[in-house]
Amino acid sequence: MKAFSARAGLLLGLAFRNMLRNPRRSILTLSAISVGVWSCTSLAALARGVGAEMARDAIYNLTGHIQIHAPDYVEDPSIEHRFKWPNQKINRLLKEIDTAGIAVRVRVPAVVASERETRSVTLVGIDPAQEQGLSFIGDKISAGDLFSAAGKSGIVIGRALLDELETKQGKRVVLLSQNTKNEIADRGFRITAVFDAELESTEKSYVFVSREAAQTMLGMQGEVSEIAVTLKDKDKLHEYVTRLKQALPEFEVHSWRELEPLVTALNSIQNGFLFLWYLIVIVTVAFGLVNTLFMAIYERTYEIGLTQAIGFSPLMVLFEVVFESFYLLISGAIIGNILALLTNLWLKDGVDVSAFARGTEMIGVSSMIYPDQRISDLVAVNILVLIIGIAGSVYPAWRASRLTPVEAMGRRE
Amino acid sequence: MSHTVIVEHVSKVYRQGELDVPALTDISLVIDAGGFVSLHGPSGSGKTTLLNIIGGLDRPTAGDVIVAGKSLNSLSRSELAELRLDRIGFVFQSYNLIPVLSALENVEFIMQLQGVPDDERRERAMAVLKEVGLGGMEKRRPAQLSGGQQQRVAVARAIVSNPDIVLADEPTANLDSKTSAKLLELMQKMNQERGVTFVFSTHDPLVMKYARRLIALSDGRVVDDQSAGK
Repeated sequence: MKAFSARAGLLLGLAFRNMLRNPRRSILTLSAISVGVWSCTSLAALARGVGAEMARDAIYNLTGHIQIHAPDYVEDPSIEHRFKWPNQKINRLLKEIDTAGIAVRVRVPAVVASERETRSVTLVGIDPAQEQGLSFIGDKISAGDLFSAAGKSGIVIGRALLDELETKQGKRVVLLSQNTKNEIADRGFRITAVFDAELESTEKSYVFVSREAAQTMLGMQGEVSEIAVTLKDKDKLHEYVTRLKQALPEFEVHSWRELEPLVTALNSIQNGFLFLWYLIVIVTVAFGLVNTLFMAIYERTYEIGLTQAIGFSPLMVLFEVVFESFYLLISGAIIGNILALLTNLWLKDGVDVSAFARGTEMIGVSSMIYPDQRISDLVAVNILVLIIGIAGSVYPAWRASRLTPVEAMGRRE
Repeated sequence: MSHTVIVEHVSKVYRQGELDVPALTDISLVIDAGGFVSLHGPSGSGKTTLLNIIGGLDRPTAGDVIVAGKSLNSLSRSELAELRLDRIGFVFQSYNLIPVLSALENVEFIMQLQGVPDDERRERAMAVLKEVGLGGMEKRRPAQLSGGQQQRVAVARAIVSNPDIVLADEPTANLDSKTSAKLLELMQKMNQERGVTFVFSTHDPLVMKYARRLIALSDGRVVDDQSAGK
């Protein structure tokens, strides 16, 4: 093509000046594009924040990144599905992967009874030192020390459960569960500490004793229910899970995504809704842009004829309109991105959704949401805006390019 | 003398609703290089239609036009655009200029499309603007120029790339007689000094006074074709 770069330069210059020609209309169109981009990216940041919070809570809620169990434990988490510990093979394999923490637990269904109330719970026998930084229990003790005062006879329960049992710290409760001989084992524990969790359901679901105490009570000496592992690099989750599954066929190895299917499903649904939202907003914005371009073309019909008369080809007319649309889209996208980043900055300390605590707790979200603006979302929104916007502008541009010079110049009269 | 334009049995019929309205009927003529020709006649006589067909802005219903040795019927829309760019200059009755470009940029427009290097383009555009008496007004936008000045910029744009022919559609229609005379003198000068062929459509007697060949149209037919003074 003759003097391609000179023509491209001319078209880009003309398109830019055309955009500035009707400032009010261009500002309105830019505003629509900016608000569209801003709403998509900001909503994505909040939704990702919710998703990340859900995942973080799920992992922190005793799950870890990877868990190892005896076969069938996940389907039936009872005392029957336990395994011997220590296990040299597992120890060696865990040393080969980049772990941030490893917690070995006894974890069985149980009933806890105070003088007044009885509740079904999950009894978790832990080594407190292993839980530090790995699960909430190591970090959430709000009153008392973990087992220190009462040693093997200490129990830690959640604040909500404490209320339901109508008891208080320092008092005794009785734990009942099935032991390895399929008999009912019971034992009294003194409440040595109380934990607060983000979710009330967590406070009601778990009671913690030392692993040794749980093993003694249940007759599980030298045996445990699960190993929870957290990773330094969560991106290697799939690789490590696959490796452990292959190396430990006699065990069940699961990633947190498999253990928390609700969180995984909600994240997938969220991705779908986000994409749908992008499409709705961006297509709406594109319609506005197309309308603007039609108006601009209608106003400039004579001029389109004139430029064709003195040398513009139909393709150049098309590109002139598309370039104008490109400028509007790029400018709108830049403003929208800046607004989104400012919004994230403004909300960096979190959005308090405690007013909706019951609703958010149902999906495992705490009362604060922190925006999580991901580059991938910014890129996706901007690319979608450009592609859909440009695609939309091709139609009015094509219509303009179909006008013959005589038709276009005749329309003025 | 070489022929710049050959019009061969050109007819043009417009469809208006159910009716066919003939605008041109079997017109044949030859325009020689260096000519200063007026197509004149009353409104509706077909002079603008003929000018549009010669310039490749419209296609004839029958017949053909040869410009610079090329049959316009054989060219696609893009090829016609290239031909107009390289071989034909246009001056219209009004609204000749692109409003978002300055006078200088309007004159540079065609050369930029032709890929003339920046420095050469600017130099030529400045020179021709000076030649048409608009030196010092290069940066003005069309809205900052009078009607006569705008027409001068249009003439400058039409001739700056040395086309074979300049087609001017009633160039003086919106100008007062003094400004019209100045514009015609300018075009006459360009015709004489640069050898550019000019063809006007007009019903302005002043234009006819300047023309060296007068082609009269009536009801879409050539009814008279004579050289000035004969």
